[in-house]
Amino acid sequence: MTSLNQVLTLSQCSQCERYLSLSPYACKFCGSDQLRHKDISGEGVVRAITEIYRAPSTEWRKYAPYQLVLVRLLENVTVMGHVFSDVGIGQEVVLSKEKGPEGGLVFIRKKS
Amino acid sequence: MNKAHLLSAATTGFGRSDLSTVELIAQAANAAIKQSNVSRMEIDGVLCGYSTTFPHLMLANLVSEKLGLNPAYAQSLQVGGATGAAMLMLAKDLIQVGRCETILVVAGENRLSGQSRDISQQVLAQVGDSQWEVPLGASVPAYYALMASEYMSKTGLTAEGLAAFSVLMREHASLHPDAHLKEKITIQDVCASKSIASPLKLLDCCPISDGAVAFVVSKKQGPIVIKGAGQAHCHQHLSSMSDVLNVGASLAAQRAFSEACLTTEQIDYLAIYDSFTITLVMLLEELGFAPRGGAVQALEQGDYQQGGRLPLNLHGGLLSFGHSGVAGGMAHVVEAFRQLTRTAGDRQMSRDAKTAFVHADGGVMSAHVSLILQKEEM
Repeated sequence: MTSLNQVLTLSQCSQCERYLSLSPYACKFCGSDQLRHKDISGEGVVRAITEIYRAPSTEWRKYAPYQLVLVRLLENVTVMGHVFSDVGIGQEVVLSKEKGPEGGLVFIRKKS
Repeated sequence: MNKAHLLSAATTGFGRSDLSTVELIAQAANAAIKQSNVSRMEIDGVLCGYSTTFPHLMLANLVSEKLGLNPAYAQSLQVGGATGAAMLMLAKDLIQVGRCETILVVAGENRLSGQSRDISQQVLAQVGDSQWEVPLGASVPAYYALMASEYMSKTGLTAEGLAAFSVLMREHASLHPDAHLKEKITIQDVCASKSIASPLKLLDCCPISDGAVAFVVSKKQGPIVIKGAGQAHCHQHLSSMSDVLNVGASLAAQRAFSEACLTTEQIDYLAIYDSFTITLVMLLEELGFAPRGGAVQALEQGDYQQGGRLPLNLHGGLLSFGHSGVAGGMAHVVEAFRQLTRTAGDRQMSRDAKTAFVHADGGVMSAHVSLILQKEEM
């Protein structure tokens, strides 16, 4: 059975407590450089999806076609990941415990 | 304050070439210098864009030496696809404050012939985040495809609508002897072309080309004045883009319009960055040259054609004139120069144009530079 709710570590501003994408060194909202790491559940909604047919390297060509999604997490931070199930824009998803090709994040449909 | 004039604008042919980065740059630069009627001794500034096939540490110095120039100010810039417009903005600022009098702005590379397509893709993909995006097997077409999917879901834009812009750019390029791709195509051709990253097909993506472009910008009187310029940099990576409907383009444009004391209604010609069909639609709509969700209808009404209300990229854009890196975005400005000076030959727009708007983006709609060019009353 696929295990749900793998934790994802995000940056959070110690001052305004907003979450921040892509491991920055300062908060874009309040300017504080006091950031901390926080584990979150990885639940969110699909913003965008693409299926890649033309992979950028030989390493990735063996997986093509593969799908990438942008997911807006509950923490209002967007992250990129893979999906291997039928999901669309607006779909609620959650981070899977399984890792994708080359160790990337994988999202799966959230069970209602 | 001094005014910055475009004295000349030159391109090499775009497509496949046997020439190296420096040879291409020299060809365009020599043509622009000759056309400007300034002597090499008068050029006291050199701004040079980067080359992915020749990542030299100080390309502006190298180019100066090879071109017999001895500038008082020389540097290279790296702002992705917005580099050319950013260099013109810097040239304008340097001239306005009196730092330089006459500046060569140049870029070029053999991006098609100088490296494999895989290497090109991998170099370009590095505009993605090295920890969170690139390791997922992402590529520049994939980043733009993700943007396209979100934009289409929010605005109702269709794959056929995107394709219509590719067809239009090809139609324009078919009249340009220096264009990379000249054979006319249909919406069906675009939709039936190979899938790259859904919803983008091969013909929604610009080609990789060899080519170079150069300008001479001066405080001397010239045919075109750089009337306004503005930039905006709201994110670098796609995952940090907070709103696909507001990526920073309109902010850069507002700054340029404010400096020029002009409005969008006063624009006669459009030179808009078009790395992908989605780039063009998003920029036209955010910049206010089409209502949101209305760019395709404006195209269908003929607005963006040679004889239309707001002719767009009459050289064929990156999508068909070609994309040789920094020079690709500069070719839009060359065409604006030719349209305003009425030297575009068969491609000349029918109306007498006074003011052109230029917009370029770098990265994943990350860096935005707008320029407003105006015909000088001589």
